[in-house]
Amino acid sequence: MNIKKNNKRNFLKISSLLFFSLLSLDLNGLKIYEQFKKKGIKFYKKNKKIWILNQNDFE
Amino acid sequence: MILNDLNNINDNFFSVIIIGSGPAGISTALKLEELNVRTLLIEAGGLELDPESEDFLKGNVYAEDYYDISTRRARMFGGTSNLWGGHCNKFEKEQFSNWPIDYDDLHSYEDEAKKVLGLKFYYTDFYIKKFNEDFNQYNTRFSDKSRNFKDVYYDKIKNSNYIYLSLNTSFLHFEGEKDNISSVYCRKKSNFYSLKAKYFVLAAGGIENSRLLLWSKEKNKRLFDDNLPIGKYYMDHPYYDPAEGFIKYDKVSKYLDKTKGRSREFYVDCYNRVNLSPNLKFRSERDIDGLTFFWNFNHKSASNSSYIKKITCMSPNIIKNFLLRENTEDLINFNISINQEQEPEANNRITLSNDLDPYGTPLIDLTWKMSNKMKRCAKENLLRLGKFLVEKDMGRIAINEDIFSYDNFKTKLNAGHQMGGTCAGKNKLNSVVDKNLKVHSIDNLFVTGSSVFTTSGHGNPTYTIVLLSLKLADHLKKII
Repeated sequence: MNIKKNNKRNFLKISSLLFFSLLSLDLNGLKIYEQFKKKGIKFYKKNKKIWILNQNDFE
Repeated sequence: MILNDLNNINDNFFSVIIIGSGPAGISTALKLEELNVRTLLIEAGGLELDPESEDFLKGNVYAEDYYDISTRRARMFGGTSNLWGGHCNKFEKEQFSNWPIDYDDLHSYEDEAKKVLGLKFYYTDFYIKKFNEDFNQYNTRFSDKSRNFKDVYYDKIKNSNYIYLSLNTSFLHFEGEKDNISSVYCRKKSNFYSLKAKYFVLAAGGIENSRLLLWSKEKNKRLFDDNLPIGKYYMDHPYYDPAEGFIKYDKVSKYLDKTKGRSREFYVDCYNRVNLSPNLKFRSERDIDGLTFFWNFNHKSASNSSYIKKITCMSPNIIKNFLLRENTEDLINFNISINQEQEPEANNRITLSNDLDPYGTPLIDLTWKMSNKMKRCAKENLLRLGKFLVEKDMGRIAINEDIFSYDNFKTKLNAGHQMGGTCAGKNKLNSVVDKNLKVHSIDNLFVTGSSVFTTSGHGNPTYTIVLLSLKLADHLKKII
């Protein structure tokens, strides 16, 4: 007798729902991914100049 | 034809007298010649620049950063074309919204203007295309031989049957009664003349047009409407180098599909540079005016290497992140120059000074200020470009810290594009000339040149000056 693994199914259901919700929000102009990336922008002052850098530049 | 003697000229022998032989005056005269209209062209200088001419061009400047105004003008045949670099730009249509002149109507003279200016098709015609969501990319075109109107047109005018040129003839002021100019009062050597014509065109230059009109108004108060804002709404293009940085060649080149490849250079004009300007959406969203980013790329590997060393000292991770994935040659050092649009403001103005030139005409007092809005505009544009470079991982930008302060904001110099002062408009309360460049309330006086610009745009003005002058000549032919 096959026992279905409900936990796995539920996880897929929920994650795909979440993925499509985020995708639709992104398409609707909220640009979550872009916003997320923008948070990585850092300003760094050196020799009377302000550098616009990425967080990765310091890691 | 060259006129050495102004005696014995019959009244109304000339249909039009043009004051000034710079690009505006010569373009108007050439077009009138084609239409068989007899014209007298008056030039205050000679064929060479006289060092003493500075005494006519200087003035008092009240500004934070401004240049010596006597150095960017030439009192000689050919006018400012003796000084310019031959750069030509076309106004964007959106920048024309406040002008009384129809954009398409004005640009119907494009083919003629290109011929007058000797614009060669180096790579492409004028274009404006999308660069990204916020910026457009456009090109600059160049006159062949950096066209000097003196060298190109002196012989043509000398041999013309319709254009009469009188050199070393200083315009002093207009004469006439209310609503009508009867003659121009001028001086040639030590003699004085009143020269009559049906129509008069003032084409003496961005600052001189205002000075000469103000002085004519002072000499004959009944001639001009009291409310005409002569000298007001003066504009210039601040020009400065506010930023530098580096890009990855391959990533940026994807955005530049108009470039012509030769080696690794961006061939969008004669320089290794790309011209960017904020699009209408970005300008409206942030309530800012236009500007040009001259994005100048340095392709010399030696200087790129030294630049990379400099950045490495600051943040080794930047270089590590870039160079581990890319070749050193793909990293290109750049600097950005800005040529910025100035909004017309009544407080930026030309007035008559108490100091006089050698012929007794007052010199000018020039009041000029760069507004906080302009300073904010520069900052917002640079930040937007910097963030774009980071988001697309194309490169990084470093902005001078002065740009972030209204009080310490420094410009290197101004482009010497003197505009406004006799602006074109529909209403005589805020403009001096109408859509046909005729002075409001005077039937037979016209003004052409950069002084009639309603807005300054952010490009070099000569192309538009020639367009306006050709259109004016066409209008004069219709009414003569």
